[in-house]
Amino acid sequence: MTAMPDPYALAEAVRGLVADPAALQDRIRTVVEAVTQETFTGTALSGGVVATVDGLGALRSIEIAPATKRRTDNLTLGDAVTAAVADAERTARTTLATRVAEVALADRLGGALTAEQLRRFIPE
Amino acid sequence: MRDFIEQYLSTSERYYRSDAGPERMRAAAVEFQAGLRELMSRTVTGTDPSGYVAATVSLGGKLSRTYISPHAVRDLSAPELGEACRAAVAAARTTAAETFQAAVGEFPERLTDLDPAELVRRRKV
Repeated sequence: MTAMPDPYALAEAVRGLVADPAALQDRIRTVVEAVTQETFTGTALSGGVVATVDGLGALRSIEIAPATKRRTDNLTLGDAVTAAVADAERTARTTLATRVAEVALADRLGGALTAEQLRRFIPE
Repeated sequence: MRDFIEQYLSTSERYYRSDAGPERMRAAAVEFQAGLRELMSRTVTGTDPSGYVAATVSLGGKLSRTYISPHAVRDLSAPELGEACRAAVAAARTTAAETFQAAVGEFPERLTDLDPAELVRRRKV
């Protein structure tokens, strides 16, 4: 069974959040800028199709292995491209949301919530 | 769509200027949100410059389908095909952004004097 967060610690943490909104905004901006510089990949057809996106989900490249192209029909290959892009975007989105939540909130809510508990609030 | 936004703003403004209360404004906002969601789910298609690959994306930018023609598989090398796919997705997303912008237009400056405290006060009356 998961331990419930201490409501008093939560209340204190939330009060702390609004006490210094400018610092919070700075921290979030720093995290977002850092993640934007990174790239994330998604794959399909056992790695035969690889999509690469940046931290904000902009598509950078799609790589198709010559062997995959040779032995896959056009429709399946198209579906694989769609799946690889969705996979890469999901990874980027989850990473960005997790980092923002962890970095911006962890030190404030650290006493009340673990990183794992914070992550449960982050949508897929 | 522009009419839809204009209608929402007019309704909200009328409610706000009258003493209709925040509930009716919230109902108007919910309706507006549903309309916006419908708009974001509409799709557009873009192709790479050679026309070998067509990508379909929602106005929200989500890639829903990639169609690779049989000629593309035959005529292009693997790296060229990958680049054609990337270009098709980029073209579709550009079209989606333009379509969305055209549909929404410039957001009119309305309700700039809206005071949330006033709405809360009305709720308490």
